[in-house]
Amino acid sequence: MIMITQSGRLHLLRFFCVLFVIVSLATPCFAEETMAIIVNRGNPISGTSEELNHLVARIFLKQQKDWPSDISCRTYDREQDSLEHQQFVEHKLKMSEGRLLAHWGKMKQLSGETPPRVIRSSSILLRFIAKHNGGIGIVKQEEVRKLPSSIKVLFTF
Amino acid sequence: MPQIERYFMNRVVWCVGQPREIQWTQSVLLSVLIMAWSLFLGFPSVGWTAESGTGFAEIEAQLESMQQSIESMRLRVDGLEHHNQDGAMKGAEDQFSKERYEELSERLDAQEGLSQELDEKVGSRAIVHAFEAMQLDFGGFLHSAFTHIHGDQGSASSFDRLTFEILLKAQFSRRFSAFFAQAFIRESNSRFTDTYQRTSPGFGFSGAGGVKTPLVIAWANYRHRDELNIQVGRYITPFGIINIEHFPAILLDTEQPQFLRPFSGDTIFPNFITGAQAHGKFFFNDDTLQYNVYTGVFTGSTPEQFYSGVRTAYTVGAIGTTFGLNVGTGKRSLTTTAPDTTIVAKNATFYMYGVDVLIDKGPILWKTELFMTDEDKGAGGNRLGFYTQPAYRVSDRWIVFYRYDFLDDGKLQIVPPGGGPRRHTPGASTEHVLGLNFLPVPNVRLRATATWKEFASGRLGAPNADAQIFQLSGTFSF
Repeated sequence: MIMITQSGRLHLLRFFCVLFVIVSLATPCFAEETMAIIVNRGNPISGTSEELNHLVARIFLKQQKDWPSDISCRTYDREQDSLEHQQFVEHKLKMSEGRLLAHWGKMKQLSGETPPRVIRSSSILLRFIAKHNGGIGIVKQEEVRKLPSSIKVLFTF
Repeated sequence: MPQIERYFMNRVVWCVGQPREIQWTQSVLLSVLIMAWSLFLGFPSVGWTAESGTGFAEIEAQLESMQQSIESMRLRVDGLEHHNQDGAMKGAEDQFSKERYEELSERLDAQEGLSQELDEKVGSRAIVHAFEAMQLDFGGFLHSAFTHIHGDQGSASSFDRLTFEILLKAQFSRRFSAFFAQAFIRESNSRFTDTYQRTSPGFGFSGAGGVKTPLVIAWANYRHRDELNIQVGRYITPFGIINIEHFPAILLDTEQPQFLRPFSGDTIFPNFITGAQAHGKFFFNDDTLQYNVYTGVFTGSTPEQFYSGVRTAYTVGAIGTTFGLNVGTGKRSLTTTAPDTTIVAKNATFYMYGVDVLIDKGPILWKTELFMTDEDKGAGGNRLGFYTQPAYRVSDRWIVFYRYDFLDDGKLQIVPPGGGPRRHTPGASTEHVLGLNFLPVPNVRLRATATWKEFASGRLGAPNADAQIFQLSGTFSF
C-alpha cells in the first residue's frame, strides 16, 4: 500500500497547481467581438431570438431559400479568415470550418448549390443589402452606426 | 493725463495688441483692479473734486474712451469665440473626412483585391456566358479505385473504377432552375465466376470495354416556395439516405450498401427514375419536415412500367437526428425467377417499404436503413436489405467508419436463355466493412476499406463462402 506523507501531499498539490496554470496559459485565446446580423429594412422579418437564430442558420446554409414573407434570400458571407465569418460559423452555425466545407460539397453534388457570395468590404456589403430586400450579412457591432436607413440590425451575437 | 490713467490706457492698448484672449482677460482684470484700488485710496487726480473745473469732463472723456476700448475688446473677444467655434466645426469636419477617407480606402482596397483576383482567374481568356440564365455553376469530380479480392478459390485485382462526372446548374429565374450530371465511366464490376457466384473472384467489363456515358441526372425544378417544388426529368429516386447522397465525393465508401448495387440497378427499388416529383420542406424552429412524392419509369424496365413512391423525413435539430419513412410500388421485368417457377416474370408488381435513421451530431455520423419488398409470386421471394454504418469524425480530415450490411436478394434463380440447369444468384450475404477516410483538402477524399464478405448457403446446393475485399479509392471534386 502506498502511503503519502504530509510533505508529499503538499508537493503533489503544488505540482497540480503548476500544471493547472500551465494548461490555462496554453489554452488558446481568441479575440471576440460583438457581431450584428443585418438585413434590408424592407424585410418584415420578426420573431424570438431563438427563431431568428435558426432561421438565419438555415438561410445561410441555403436549406431555406425564401424569407417567411416570400422574399427570396440573398445571403452574403465574409472572407473565411475574417472575424465576422469565424464567429458566425462557430456561434451561430455551431460548425467547424471543415464541416461547413463538407456541407457545401454535399449541396454542390446534390443540387448544384454554391456557398454564399463572399464580400470583403463592409461598405460594399451594405450597398448590396440596401439594394436587395432579401439581403442578409454580417458586420461588426462597431460598424452598425454607419448603417444607412435602408438597413436594420436583425440581432447581435 | 494722470499717471494712473495713462497706465490703464497703456494696459488697454497693450492688451488690444495681444493676439491671445488669455492676455486680454488678464490685462482687463488687472487694469480694472488697479483703477478701483486707486479710486479707493483717493488719488486726487482721479477722484472728483470741486477744485477741478475740467475734471468732470476729463473723466467723462476717459470713461468714453474706456467704453470704446471695452467695446473694442468685446468685439475682439466675440471674434475669438467665433474663431473657436469655427475651429470646433473644422475639427468635426476633419473627423468626418477622416472616416470618409478610411471608408473609401477600404472600398478601394476591396475593389482592387477583387480586380486582382478576377484578373488572376480570367486574365486574357474568354469569359463563358450562358445563353439564357441568371447564373450558371459548373463543377464535377474524378473518381478512381483499386480493388483486390481474395476468395476461397483464388484472388483478383484491378483498377476497377474510373469515373469523370460533370455537374452543371443553371438558374433561369428566381423560381426555375435545372441541374445536370453527365458521367463518363470506364469500369469493371467485381464478380465471382463459379456456378454459385461466391468462390472464384474476378472482374468483368460492363458495357463495351467497360465504357459508359450515362446522363445520370437531368432535371428542371420549379420552386413555388420552399414548401412546394415540382421537378421533372431524370433524378435520383428519393428513398433512404445513401441513395439520395449517391455521389462518391460525399460517400465514406464508394461501394454502396448491397441493396443499392449494382449502380443504376433496382435490387430493392430503382436508383434513378425519369419522371416527375413534388418535394418540399416545412420548418418548425430547429426541426424540419421534408417530403417527396414521385413517379416515373426506370431505364432498366420497359417504358410502360411505372415506379411511384413517397418519402417523408423529420429532422429533430436538437439531437441532429432524421427519421425517414419510405413506401413505393412498381413493376419489374426480370431475368431471374423464383425457385420452382417455370416462367420468368415480365411484368411483376412489387411493393417497397423502408425506414431510415440518420444521426449527424458533433463527431458522430450514423446511417441506418432497412428496406424490404413484397414481390409477386412470379417475381421471386421478397427481398430484404439492412445496413447500419456508424462513423466517427476524428477531425475535419480523418473519419473512421464501420458498416454491417445484409442483403437477402430473394434467393432467385437464373434461367439460362439457352436452356440447361438453373443457377443460383449470389443469395443472402453479409458484409463487415471497416474504413478510413482522409481529406487532405476539403475537395479531395482518399479512402481505404477492408470488407469481409460472407455468402450464406442457398438453394440448389450453394455452399457457404467467404471473401475479403480491400479497396483504395480517391475522389477529386471541383
